[in-house]
Amino acid sequence: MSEIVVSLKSTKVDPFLKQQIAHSELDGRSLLCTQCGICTSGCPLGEYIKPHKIVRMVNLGLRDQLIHLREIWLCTTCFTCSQRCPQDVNPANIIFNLKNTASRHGIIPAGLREICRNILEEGRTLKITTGREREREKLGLPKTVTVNIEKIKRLMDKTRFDKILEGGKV
Amino acid sequence: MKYAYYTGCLVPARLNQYDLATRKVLGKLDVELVDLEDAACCGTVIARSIDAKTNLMMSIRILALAGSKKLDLLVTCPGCFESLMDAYTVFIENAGFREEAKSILKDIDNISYDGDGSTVKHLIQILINDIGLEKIKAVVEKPLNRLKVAAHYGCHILRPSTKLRVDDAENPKMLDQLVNATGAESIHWMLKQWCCGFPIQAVDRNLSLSIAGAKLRSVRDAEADCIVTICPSCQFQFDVLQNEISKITGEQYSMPVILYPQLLGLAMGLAPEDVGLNLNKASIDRFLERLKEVWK
Repeated sequence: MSEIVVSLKSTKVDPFLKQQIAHSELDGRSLLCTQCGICTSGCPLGEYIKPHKIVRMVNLGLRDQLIHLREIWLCTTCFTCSQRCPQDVNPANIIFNLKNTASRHGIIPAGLREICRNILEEGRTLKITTGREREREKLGLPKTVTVNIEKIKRLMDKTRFDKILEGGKV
Repeated sequence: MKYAYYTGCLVPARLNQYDLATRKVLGKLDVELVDLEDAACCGTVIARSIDAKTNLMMSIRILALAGSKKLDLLVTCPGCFESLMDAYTVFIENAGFREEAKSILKDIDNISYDGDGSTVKHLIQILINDIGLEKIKAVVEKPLNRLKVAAHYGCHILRPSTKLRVDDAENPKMLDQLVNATGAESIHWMLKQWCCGFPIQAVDRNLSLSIAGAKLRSVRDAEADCIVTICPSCQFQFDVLQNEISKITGEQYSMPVILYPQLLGLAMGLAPEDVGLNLNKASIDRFLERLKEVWK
């Protein structure tokens, strides 16, 4: 795993990145970060991900570098960083935000894209097989509830999830 | 007591025993469950990683479906729980999202939703807050005395606590109390509060499983008889994938992994197959042997 290297020379900077993140539904207040490092010290993958560095990079406006970082996809979403941040910065939400931005540039790990396709096509992250239904019958459980997939597709159409997922710029 | 009931995706797709044991145990505690029809995936952190608004919409739709039934919503999956709580919080606090969501819900399901009608509750909240530990202790017929249990909460039932408001995020007690109510002993173990690693499986499977391996080692070192979980993702990771974790780390754990309603059901006197114990994968024979000793 490569160390995050921040080089400001000849780097395109987006001074509005921090404001954009602070004002989204995934609010994360990066400007309040004092770089104390509590987030990284509690991260179960702190060896690979440095939330405090990611937040610093957001404040510097390094959008292009951030969306190409593999580290953002290794966040387990355990929310330990957000729980412990003494400044209520919410690094986990900031990382979600960066993943959303990366997705809009067509950068999505293949495995994750596959699960999202299941959601689009089945309304669930995993397909319920006939074997599982037979098992339910044997156990005396009612059938798995049916999902009206047309409704889910309409919902996804409104949020443009299908288009984001297939890498089109939205 | 009556609740709308939402299982999420992983339970019907992989862990029917969680559903079975939940229905059996709550039935014995006079709780009635109404399956929430047409409730699809909540989106959880998977959809949130790609597009936060899609996750919020999928989750708020489930709350709206439960709200239209005027029933509080029982969820067994902490992943769903966190996602529904997050969507509810944003719906209440963010007027822009609220108006957009209301219009989409009206259009797709013809539901007028204002945030009323249903409160999301995880299974452990219903057991402790709505039913109560005393009533649970009173139905224990075969106490699991001397059984040493490593309680495993799962991240999305605890953090961030300002939003979820379930338990103390750094020093949780609820599952430990529930384990102790069966007569078993919830023991201390080092990596209790760590994530199980499940959510990054689709990105880096080896790394995901190596986190679980570190936790399994910690449980084994604490000399637990079993892990008890309340999260389908954690259960799947520790139980179904335990062999694969052993291959990656080169260590044997032989650690039974039991869902809490299975443990409670056994203590209530239900037979192992009544709580679907035969569907668990890791070292179940060892666990059944241990039960025989406990009940001697």
